[in-house]
Order: sequence, then structure tokens, then C-alpha cells
Amino acid sequence: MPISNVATGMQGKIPGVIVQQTGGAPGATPAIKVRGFGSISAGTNPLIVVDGNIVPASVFSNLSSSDIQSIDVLKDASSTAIYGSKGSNGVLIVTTKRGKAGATKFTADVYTGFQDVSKKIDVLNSQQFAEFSKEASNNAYLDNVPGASINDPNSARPSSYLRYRYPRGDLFDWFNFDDPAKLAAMPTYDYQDMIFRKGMINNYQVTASGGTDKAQYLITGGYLKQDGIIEKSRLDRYSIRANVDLNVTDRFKLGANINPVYKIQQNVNSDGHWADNGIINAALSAVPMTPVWNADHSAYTSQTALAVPYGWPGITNPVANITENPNETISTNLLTNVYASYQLLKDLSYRATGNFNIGSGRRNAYKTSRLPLNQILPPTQATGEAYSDLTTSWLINQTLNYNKSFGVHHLDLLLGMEAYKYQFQSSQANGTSFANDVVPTLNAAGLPSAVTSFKTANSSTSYFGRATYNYKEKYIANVSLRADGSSIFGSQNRWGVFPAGSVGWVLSEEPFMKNIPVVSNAKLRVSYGLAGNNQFSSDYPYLATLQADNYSFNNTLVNGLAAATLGNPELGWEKSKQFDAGIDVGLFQERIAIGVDYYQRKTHDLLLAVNVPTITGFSTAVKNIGAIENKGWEFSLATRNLIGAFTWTTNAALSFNRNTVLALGPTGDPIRSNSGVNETNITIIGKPIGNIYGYKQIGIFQNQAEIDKLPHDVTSRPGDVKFEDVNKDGKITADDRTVIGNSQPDFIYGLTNTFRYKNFDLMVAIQGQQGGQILNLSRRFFENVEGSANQLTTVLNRWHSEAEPGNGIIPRANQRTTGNNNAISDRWVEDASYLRIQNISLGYQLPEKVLHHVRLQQARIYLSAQNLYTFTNYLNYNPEVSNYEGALTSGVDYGRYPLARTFVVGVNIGF
Amino acid sequence: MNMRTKYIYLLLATTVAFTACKKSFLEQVPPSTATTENFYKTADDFKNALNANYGSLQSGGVFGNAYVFGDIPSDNNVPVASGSVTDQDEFDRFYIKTTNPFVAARWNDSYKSISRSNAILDRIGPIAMSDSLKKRFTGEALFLRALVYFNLVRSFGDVPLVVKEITNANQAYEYTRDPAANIYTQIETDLKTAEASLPVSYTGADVGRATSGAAKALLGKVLLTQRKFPEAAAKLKEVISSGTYGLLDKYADVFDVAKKNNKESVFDVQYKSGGVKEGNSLPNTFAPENSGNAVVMFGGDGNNQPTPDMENAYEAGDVRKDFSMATSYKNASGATVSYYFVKKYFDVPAVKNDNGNNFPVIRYADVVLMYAEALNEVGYQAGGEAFTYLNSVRKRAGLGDKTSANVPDQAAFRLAMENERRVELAFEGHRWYDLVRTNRAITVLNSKKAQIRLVADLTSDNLVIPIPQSQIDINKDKIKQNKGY
Repeated sequence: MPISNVATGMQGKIPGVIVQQTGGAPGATPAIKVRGFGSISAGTNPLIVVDGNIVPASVFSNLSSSDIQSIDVLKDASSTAIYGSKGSNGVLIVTTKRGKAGATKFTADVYTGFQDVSKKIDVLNSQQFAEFSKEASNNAYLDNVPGASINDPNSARPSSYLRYRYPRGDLFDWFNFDDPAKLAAMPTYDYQDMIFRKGMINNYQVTASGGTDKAQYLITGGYLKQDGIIEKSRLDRYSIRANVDLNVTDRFKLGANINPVYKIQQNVNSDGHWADNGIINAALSAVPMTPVWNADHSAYTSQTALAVPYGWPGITNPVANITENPNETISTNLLTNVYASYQLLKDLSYRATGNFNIGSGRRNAYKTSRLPLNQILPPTQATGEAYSDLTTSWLINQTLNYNKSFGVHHLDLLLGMEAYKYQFQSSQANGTSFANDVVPTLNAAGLPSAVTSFKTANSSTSYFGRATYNYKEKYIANVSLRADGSSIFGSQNRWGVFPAGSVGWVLSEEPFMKNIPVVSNAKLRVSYGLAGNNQFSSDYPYLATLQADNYSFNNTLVNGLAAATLGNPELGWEKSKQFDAGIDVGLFQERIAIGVDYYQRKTHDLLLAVNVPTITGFSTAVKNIGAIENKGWEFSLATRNLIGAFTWTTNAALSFNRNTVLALGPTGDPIRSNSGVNETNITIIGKPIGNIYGYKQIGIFQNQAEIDKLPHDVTSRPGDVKFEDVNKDGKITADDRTVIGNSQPDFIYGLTNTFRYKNFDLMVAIQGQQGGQILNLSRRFFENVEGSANQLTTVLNRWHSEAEPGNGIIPRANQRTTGNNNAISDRWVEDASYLRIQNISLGYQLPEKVLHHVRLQQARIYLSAQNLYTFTNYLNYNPEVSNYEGALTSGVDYGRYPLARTFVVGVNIGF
Repeated sequence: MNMRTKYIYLLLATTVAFTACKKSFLEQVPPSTATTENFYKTADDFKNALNANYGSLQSGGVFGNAYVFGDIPSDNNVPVASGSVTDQDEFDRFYIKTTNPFVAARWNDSYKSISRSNAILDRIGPIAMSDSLKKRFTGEALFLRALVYFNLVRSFGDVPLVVKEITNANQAYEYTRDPAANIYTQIETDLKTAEASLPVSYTGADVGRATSGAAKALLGKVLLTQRKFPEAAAKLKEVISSGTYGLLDKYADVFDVAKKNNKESVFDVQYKSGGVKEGNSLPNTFAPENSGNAVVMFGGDGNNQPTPDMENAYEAGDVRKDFSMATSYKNASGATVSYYFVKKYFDVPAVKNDNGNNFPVIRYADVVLMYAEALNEVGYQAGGEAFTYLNSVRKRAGLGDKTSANVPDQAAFRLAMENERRVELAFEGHRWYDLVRTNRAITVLNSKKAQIRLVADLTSDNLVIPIPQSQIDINKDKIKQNKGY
């Protein structure tokens, strides 16, 4: 099945693995987690190893899916012990295809299709907006000016607050909310239609593989072109791979993989605030009768042209935000591996691998002088930006392996060492004062500004050993020990020691089990071990660092240096203890295969940025403190329901994970975290990480008598939100905020059904999650019922009066909000449950006779739809959204590139 | 030697090679981050540390957003009406929430600045440098610390008194809120040491640093705030007699970017334009919303709007009025748009918020008016020195003298002084503090209750702002909230 992004293809397939498409831009990297959030401030990403190379998730998701032989997910401490010192969050082992001895085989994969936005959001039209805005202005006017009447003309309303006034033909004749004829004639511009498009997607891949007994090879080349669903966004990706294996002698093997990838991305500023020329926020917030062009179509215009007399914000132009902001990123990545293995003795072999990864990115962006800025109409000041970065990492791994059978006993010993280094450097320059828009590079900038460069590095060394014993392939025992040292910790606790062990019992090999023919296979396994985590936002958290804070004296710039962080020379590894017990059962000759796993993972000595009193001059300090626990169940089921002429197989995965914070800082204080707005999330002991934090709404105040009787905000009026007095002190204050949701789901699932009949095949894959909440913070923009920016159609159910109370949730329209209505509350917390038809694919294999005619070995034509439909109650585009990295603030939506629906038709040919 | 042996030797060689580069391999020195390992060692280090200490004055909670703490709560200004963001509205109408971000900024930014002063003062002792330089650096750090504590004690009341560097976060939990009187004592001690340690003036690229005159002037203000009038008068007289400072002839010149750090400037927060990230945002912050490039290049945010009451506070013929504020502007299409805004800070930036205006913390006009006020409090004298100095400020504004005929007694002089300070120091973050220290805040603001749209009558609880909720939550046992919040 064609998937342009390998990681997304894993969604819902492997129990315990969550792959979240947090944003839909072409080339976007999904968020991957294995068995829940393993940490609070330190990284929660699993280690991704591609052919022995440690790679970031962005490199992994840009592999061509047809290059991949297998992806194994290692979840328990015993299996991760060998493959990654940083394995406490799980390990993904990716192996690419290799050549096989034999005649050279060629395959070609081509598909083409289009993508469009999976849903649109309903916003008010011009007539609905006008009525709403008028009501908001009148309400504010009546609230605040004694003796006011809604019939007062604009000129009579005090100019100290312009939003008391609304459009009445005083600026432009047609712009009149009072005149029914003019109002009916007002156009409604659908900005979402203007920014979204059907984007074409094309993929071409050719592979040649073959070899002799001495040498095998696989060479492949591919090109992907993906037009995003927002105008102008685009990805072009070229990749080549050569995997070679040589048997130099029958003892000595050599091999190499080389994989360069070259990407050109046309980016669009989809996610930002409209004040920063963000596209989606501008498209949803702009007042719907604002034209995109000025009267003679010579320049872009924006809400600023309509807004001045009424004090409205100068919302930018969503179309101009796309066309007048070119932003191109060119990135190249080269993954190379070389390995050598030598059979020293009959049972003793040596293997060494060298892995090298180099990636560079360059970004050039420019805002032209035709782009309306926040409150300013063109011509505006053009700005340019040039950014480049370079990432290099190398890894050397050497192992000695002893493998011997003594009759029914079998022993496997492994001893090894590994060294790893990572370096990153970047530079950036911005410039302004361009003579014209002809040359967007910074050599044309009259005034360079914000020039900066940066470098950082980290390294680690590991020594490890493992012994595996099995008796008759029936009883298996495994013990491993690993010692890792990392440069990000101080010399006192640089090294961590991580032991692990597991036992397995293949029940089905036991004599008594042979009498139960139904059970074709049964294996019981239990493992326990320690793993470490050193992913952290800084490469030097144990050092007390300084930062620049410059100043000037009499117009002369001077440098200033001051303490930035409190150091901690005792900082060491974050450790997790993991217990795992599982059983795999096969029934009816493997027609039914069931897997059940129970796990419990406790992470302690968290790398935690603990809040400290700010009288120290700092707000946080990093310590090894705190503990969290993840425990859960995983179920997998694979059944071959029907075999014969018509086959039907089903694969299902179901996972439950419960995350609990066991301990935090020295005084156990909760951690309050900011996302788009202050203090949207809180993490407290006894609950999962990253709860949404705010007020609870219990209704709307209908009249003054009700306000007087109940606890209320000091500025509350009839029509304002009624909050719950959580601490029962008779007042509504900051102490009435409480936990109002959490993004972690109750369970996640995936179900894939594959049908085959004669030459046809059909696959239907669905995946989803149940439970979990999202804080839809972008409703701060489109549901604030203020009246100066467009809103969701939900505001048609707002409170108008006691006689027309609306749906009892949305308060009254008001240009000067009272009652703290737009504080973070559960009004904006939504259910993130969804069920998605992830992939439907229908294919036809050309029959033998036809193949013979066209001289092909194999040919298959297929139709495929991805992300066909998502069943959800979530209001915004994507229920998997998350704007902010990290466990503390997951599940906050502040505007993000929506997910696309893709339809393609393609062929796989082999010859 | 056969192939096998060759390979074994190769294997051993590579293994040894790898195990050799061990220890230093794991000790990475950060290439882009400085650390305290190599800092606080030379005179140059302390110069850089002191520059960062001055730099902390620019942060929002110290002087960057001074208007929120000093102008908005008063009858001079109202915040830009922003619908649901009520943070500044809470200061204007007195319903400040404990989670207000400006409240948190005042506390957090102030203590960050204080920690920088403490780091310098604690570590400078043993360092080898010339005595005069060491004395001067010490004086500057003490001055800056006193300045910031003055802000803290006036805003919050009782605050933790931190006078040494806290190196271990656990120590921070021991601090409670010290009584305001102790804070004032510390401020006075620090300023007395500073005035003796600082030079009278600087030249060249050091102009703008704290001088002994600045320390004296600040001390005078601190004494005046505590109502220690004779001592205040004496201290302020020292500043006047030094001859270092004087009133400029034209009011506009005092704020002219080209003439910054002039004779009237006693202590300013320094800014520099030119794309070096040291610019002042005030001209753009105060320019009207949606004004495009008509008032200040790159638009305005409409903050700190003067009230009609403020407009009426200026007497007829006062040149300061048209310089400090305006009630309308002509937009790009030539239409006149009605909008009240502060004009006092003006520059032509190359990018938004990159203006070169200094922010005046203490001006000579302020010193002179404080001296007159202190004299009057000691005893009213018809035609005395107090009148001379009051009139020198009025004369510059193009106004006639006040005499014992129109200001017959101490109470009348107090009122005249209150109004003079209101218009002379308008939009420099003084009005609210002046009303509070003269015990006039409650009377004046309650009398204008409807106009200001106060949520409820002011009481003495409203004279201080709440302690930030996050700091109460982090140390509930030791840090208690102010009454009424």
C-alpha cells in the first residue's frame, strides 16, 4: 500500500505503539511513542535504529516505504538492553531490503493521485456575522456607558472605546449592518476554499536486486512529488539506496549501505497567529466580507481597511499570507553503514559496524512588500531570512559472538562495545530594507539583523554483554548487562549500569501440550530489566550556564553576561525498571494467533526541571527527581478466517496504557506548564502527566438575582459564564482552577482486514483511539464571541437574553468581555476519540497469460484511499493534533496544518 | 603470517584504538554556551556581569512595562481595550487576579535582577583589580539592587529580603516576606554606600551608568516616600547644589533621542536602535492601533491611552500637553481619526519596536519638585524656596508662577504640587506611586469612580498588588498572600 510517510503506515498496527499525525504538512514527521509517556521533561521518543544507525524520527519517516524489509518494535527491557542504551522509551529496529543471490530482478512502483482537505470548519457567513457583531457592540455599549441606548448613532457613542461602534455605512456605503438591503447584498468570502486545493501526489520507484554467491546487491531510486492541500506547499523528494553484501571469503563478509536523500520543500506558514501571518488562523478569523484584493485589483488588502473606525484588529490576509511569503527548505541526508564480520573460530565470530549520518538543511524565506502585516496595509517592509544547519553523527559498534550447542543445550554469548558522537551546528541571518522584491536573498538587504550561529555536541560510550541459553528450544533464559556513559551528565554520575533478564517457555513443545492439537504454538515469556534515558533539551544540563543580556551606554553597545541556569554536577541517567509478561498462542495450525502482554514500567530519577522559588533568580532547576509509572495491556490478534479460493485474514491490535505520576520535586508541588497561553496544563502526583488545567463551567448566569446568589467573578453580568466554586470559598478565584481533562486515551486500536479472491485483493484498515481530551485553544480566536473577528457557527447558539438563553454554554456576545468568560475552561476541552478509515486498497494481479505477453514477471494495479473519513466529535481539523512537543503540554491545539485525504491509482511491476 | 592471524591482529588493534579515546571523549565542552567555570575571575568578567545587571532593567517587570504599574492604575491612563485579554484592565479597575502575568513579571524579573547584583557583590571581594574600579562596581551593583527593591516594596509591600546569592535552590524555601520597613532600611543602607562609592559623572562610553548624584536622588525619593521630610529635603538639596544637573530650556529636548543623556537626565534605562536588539518598544507600544505608518513606523498597539481627565489636567498654554499626548491623528488617506495616545516617546525605527528612546527613571525636574514638596511638608513658607523651584518647572512649561496669593497654605501647595507632578512627569510611570505615597490614592480615584469604571470602591487593600499565585503555591508555608486577594 503506498504510504508516502513510513511512520504513518505503522498507525494502529503494533500494539503499544502510538503514531500520532500531529500536523499534515507534506513531509511532516509524526510523533511516535511506545507504551506511553516515559518521562516528564526528558525526551519520550523511542530510539530509532536504521540498519544499525541511530537516526532522528524525521529521517526515519522519509525512508521510502518500499525499501523497508521489517520494522521490529522492542518494548521490554530485556530486548532493548542490547540495541540501545537510550532504550527506556522503546526501540524501533528498521531493516532495509537486501539483495539475494540469483538473476537480477527489477521492480517498479508508480502511483499517482491527489489529496484534499479531509474536512472544513463551519464559520459564520456575512449576514450572521453582521448580526452577531452588532449585538456585541451594543452589549458593550449598554454595559459601560450610562444612559446608552441601542438606537444611538455611532457619533453619539464615546470614542474612548471605538468598539462601541459598528459599521453603518460611515466608512463605505456598502458596509452597513443596519440596512437590510445592503446587508443581504454583502458577499461572503470562503477563505478556506481559497487556501485549500486538491494537491497532486506522484511517486516513482525502481529497484534492481540480485547477485551471486559472492556478492549480492540491491539498488533503488525513487522520486516523490507531493503537493500539499494548502496552496503552494509542496515536497519533492529524491532518494537513492545501494545495499551491497560481499562474501570475500567464506569466513569474511563485508557489506555497505549508502542512502542519500535530497528534499526540496515549499513551506507555508500554516500554524502561526494571524498577527504573524499564520494562514489558517487568518482564514478562520477574518471577518467574512473582507475582500482579498483592493478595488482595482492592484494590491492585496486586509481587514485593516475596514477596521479603523470600529477598533477591530487588523487581521492579515490569508491568501497573501500564502503567496507573498515564499519559504523553501532544501535538505540533504546521507545515511551510510559499513560492516565487516569475520568467523574467527567455528563458534566464535567478530563483527564491526561503522555508521555515519550527515544531514544538512538550508532555508530561505522572504516576506514581500505586498504582504499586509498586522494592522498595516501594503506596501509594507519586506524581510528576509536565511538559515542553515548541519547535523553529523557516527556510531562504531564491535561485537564478539560465541554460539555453541552442546547436545540439547544451546549457548549464545555476546560481548560488545559502542561509541557514538553527535554534532549540530546552525547559523541564521535576517535582513530588512530591500530596494524591491526582485532579489529575496540577503545580499540585497540594506540592514542585516539578528545574525547568529550555534553549535552543540554530545557523545556516549557503552559496554555490553548478553548470554542466552536454551534447552531443546523449549526453555529459554536470557541475561544481559550494559554500562553506558554519556557526556550530558556530570563526572559524578556519568555512567549508568543497566541489567536485564528474561525467561521463556515454549509450552507447545511440552509433551502434555502435544495432546492438545488445537494449540499449535504457545510461548510464555517474562522479562525484567533496567534501561536508561538521556534525551534532554540541552546537551549540557549539568553545567551552570551563562547567557548574554546586552545593554548600551550612550548609544554604545556593551556585552553583558549573566547566569542562565543553576548547574547540577550530580545529574545522572534517568532510569526505568520494566517488567513484562506475555503469552503468544497459536490455535488451529496458526489460523488464530493471539498475543497478550502485560507490562509495568516505572521511571525514576527523572531528568526533571523542577520549579524553584523565583527569588533565586531562576524559575527551574534540573535534578534527578520524581517518578512516573506506565502500566498496561496489549492484545494482538491475527486470524486467517477463510482459506481457500477466497481468503480473508484479520489483524487487530488493542492497547491500554495507564500513566500515573508517582513523585515530583522535593516538596511534591505540581508542575504548571504554559502552551499558547499561560498555565494551560498541570502535572500532579497521582494523576497522568500533562492534565489540562482550568475552570469548570456549570452554565450561564440568566439574571442578576442568580449572580447575587452564587459565587461569581467580580465583573460578571447576566449572560456571562457561571464557573464552579471548586474550593467552596464563595468566590471565583484562581484557586478554582482544576484538572479538566487529559490527552492520553483510554485505549487505542487498529483493525485490518484483507480479502483475496482469484486475482483481486482488498484491504481495509481502520484505526482509532477512545478517550482522551484536547484543549482546543484556537477557539480563543473563533469562539470568543467578541464581535471583531469571525467565529464558528456554534456561536449562533449563544445567550441573547433570559428568554433566548441559547444552548446554555456559549455566553453573550460582548466587545468588552466580562465575567472572565474567555479564561481557560472546560468549554474548550473536547473529546479526542476518533475512528479513522485509514486505508482502503483494491488491487488486481495481472494473470499469468497476460504477464507472459508483456514479458513481465509480476504486475499489480491498485486503487487506494488513505484517511478516507474520520468519525469524531472534534471541532477542528484533526483530533490527533498537538502543537507543543513534550509530555507536559500535549493535547493543545492552537492552529495546525490539517490532515489530507489521499486517493491514488498505481502499479507494481516486476521484471 | 596467514590471513587469519592478520585479521586477529587487525581486530586487536582496532579494539585498543577505541578503548584508548575514552575519558575525554565523554567530556564535551559546550561550544556555544559559556559556563560559570570560567567566569567571575577578572575585572572584565565583572564588567560584563554588571552590564547584564543593567540589562535586567529593561525586562518587562522592572522598567520595560513601567506604565502598567505606574500609569494604568491611576486616573491618567486606561489600557487598550482588548476584549477578552483583561490583564491590564485588572490593573486599571482594581480586580487584579493572582495569576496576572504582569504581577508575576514584576516579582520574577525583579528578583532575577537582584540575583545578578548579589552575585557580583558576593564574589567581587577577592578579585584582583584597581580599588577605585572595585569600589565603583560595588556602588553600581548596590544602586541597581536598591532601585529594584524600591519597585518591589512599593508594588507588593512586604517581600523577601535576599541580599546574598542563593546557589542552592533548597535555601530559597527558608525565605519569608520581610516587613516593608526592613526593605526600606536595606535600600537606604545600600544607597548611602553607593553615593560614597560612585563617581560624580562619567565620560564617553560610560555615560549612563549610575552616578553618586543618581544615588542621592534615589535616596531622596525613598526618604520622601517614607515621609521622612527633613532628611529627604537635605539629601535632595545635595543633588541640586552639586551643579551637575539642570533643567533644559525646552521640554521637548529632554526626550529628544538625539539629545539623550542630557543635563536633566539623572538616571535613565538606556536603549539603542539600529537592529542590535537593544531598542525601546514604547513609541510603537503607545501609538494608536491600526494607525499603520501614520504615527510611528510599523504601527502601534494602542497601549496606555490618556484619559479625557488627563487632557483636562493641563492648564491652558501648557506646552507639555501637545508634546506629551494627542487626541487624534491623520491617517494614510488624510482622514482625521479620533484616538487618545501618548506622543512623548517618538523615534523613527528601522524595524518595529527598535526605537532609541531612553526611559527616564529619575529626571532633574523630578528632583526639583520633590525638594519643593519636602520643604513644604517641613513647613509652608510663602514665597520661599519651595515656590522658586516649583515655578522653575512651570516657567519651562510656558505657565505663570504660583504665588502665595493663589497658593495660600500648606494644603493648597500640596494640591498644586500634585497637579504639577501629574503633568510634568506624565506617562513616565509616576502618577500611581505619587498618589499612594501622599495618601491621596483612595480619595482621588474613588471621586472619579464612574469615569474610571472602578469595580468597587478602593480600599487600602488595593494599594498593593497580589503576590504571584505561582510563588505562593511553591512555598505555601512561608509566603502568604496580601490581604484582600
